[in-house]
Amino acid sequence: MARGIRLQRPAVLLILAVLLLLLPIVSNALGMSFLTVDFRRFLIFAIAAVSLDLILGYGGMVSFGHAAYFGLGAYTVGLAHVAIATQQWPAWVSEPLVTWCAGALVSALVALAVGAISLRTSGVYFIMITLAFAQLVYFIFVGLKNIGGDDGLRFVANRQLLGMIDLGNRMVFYYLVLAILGGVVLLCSRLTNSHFGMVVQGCRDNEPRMRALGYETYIYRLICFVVAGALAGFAGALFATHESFVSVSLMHWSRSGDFIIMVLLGGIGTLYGPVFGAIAYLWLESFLPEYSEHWMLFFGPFLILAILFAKQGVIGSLPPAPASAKQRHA
Amino acid sequence: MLELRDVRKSYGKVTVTDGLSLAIEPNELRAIIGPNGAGKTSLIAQISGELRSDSGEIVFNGRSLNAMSMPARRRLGISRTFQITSLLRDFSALDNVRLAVQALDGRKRSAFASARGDALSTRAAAELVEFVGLAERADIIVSHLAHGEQRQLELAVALAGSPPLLLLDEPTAGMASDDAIRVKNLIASIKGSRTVLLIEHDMPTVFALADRVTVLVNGREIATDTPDQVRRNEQVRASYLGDDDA
Repeated sequence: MARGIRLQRPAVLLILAVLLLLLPIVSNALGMSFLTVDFRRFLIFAIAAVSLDLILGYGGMVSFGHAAYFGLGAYTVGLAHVAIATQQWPAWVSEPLVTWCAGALVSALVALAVGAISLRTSGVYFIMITLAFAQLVYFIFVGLKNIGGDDGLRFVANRQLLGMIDLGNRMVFYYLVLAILGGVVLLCSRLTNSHFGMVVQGCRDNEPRMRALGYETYIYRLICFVVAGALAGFAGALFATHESFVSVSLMHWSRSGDFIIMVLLGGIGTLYGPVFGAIAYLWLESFLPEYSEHWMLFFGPFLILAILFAKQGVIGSLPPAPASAKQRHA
Repeated sequence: MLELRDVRKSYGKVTVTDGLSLAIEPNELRAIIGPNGAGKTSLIAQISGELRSDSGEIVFNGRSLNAMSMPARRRLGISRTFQITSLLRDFSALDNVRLAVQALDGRKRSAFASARGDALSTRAAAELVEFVGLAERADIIVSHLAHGEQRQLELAVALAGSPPLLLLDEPTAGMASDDAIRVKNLIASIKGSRTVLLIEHDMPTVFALADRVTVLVNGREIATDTPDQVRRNEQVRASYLGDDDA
């Protein structure tokens, strides 16, 4: 039928990848090199959106607190720099690779504690309890006046990766972020197709059945939750290096909602759909206010329409590759 | 093989299992019959670990199951089917059985290797799918399978890992007669090679398959005997079978 004309998902993925690869070169040529910095930020948020898709789309765990892990990763980098500036910690700690991994680790540990408790509930209770924990983290950081509280934390981020890669160069940093995003999508894709991923998806479909098959489902879901938290923390850490500034607004509950919208908009359970969703959402968020201060008035209905008419998101509505299409509808 | 000692379970004032003691021999096919609400499904739920008994003990091959979770009991070899089909609806028939096989083969798996690419478990799963007569339908998503096919698949999933004890909760429920006969034949072919606890409403099936029959009424055992003896038992006829069935 219309399948011959309609774009299939692999084609869209290819187009998306090529556009992102060309973006810095084209924007430089057009004298709009600020776009490279804007998109670098979009791609960093995209990493967190992909990690949310892992638990939301594949695990069926509607976490309404994903911004907390992003924020914790960012604050880890910020606080490390403050500790170095006040000579409490040695300078080598500011090495981006060290602070980024530390950010991921901090978020993973918090996700472990939050997940261990939250995963004993399900449905609406799970949503509420993940939100409650995120709010708890948020208010702790609002209250910490010595690290800026409401005003946030400004620092000079070390942008010398391994002493040889200069992240001060916008193109270099952009391509590094793009490569990390690609790596995260690939990693998550391998994970979801693995035995572990199948078990997690089985739990989403029918957890009692998975237990009846002999799986300790709680452990599988908890590991998945921690992996997603760690990846969000890593993205947050990248953001801190990108921005040289962190603030509690990163952890606000509305940011958690934004991440969910990015996933839904792009296509839940597709991994690269949320990349598209994150870029589209953040671009509209930064572009619409230039035209009207009542931009939310247009943005809200747009989101409602997008989710109504493309129930599986923009990418999710496209037909998958032919092989799996046959499997689904044979 | 399987022993229940004075097992009790109630919800408030409703008693579903009332001091039940049973002993099932290795490789026996024991049918449990009784009117609706007799506590048959609750019994399977307690043996499989889905429900906790209030008191009493369930012993499997000399081990008490009381403190064991449902997944642990399945890994020990107690497998069940569900009265209301319970499968992974977005997965293919083969995927469902493969996941069941992989849960039990005890092999470590990489988090980065494709689950579908695992040859050993895929072959074992394909054999089970073929055994229940679904070889042609292996790649179909479960929600697209007919009801009877889903019931057959339930059986394939339950048979993964060759469990020594099989708890079958109305395996032919809601099936067309052709499909029901197919499932009946499958159970007949399993019989003797493992222990089976069968809940079934269709009396001809029960009397054809069972080694012994236990009649349950209000959570209590009122008779356990060979099919012939149960058929003649006055108390059973009065409380359950009715005169037409005999």
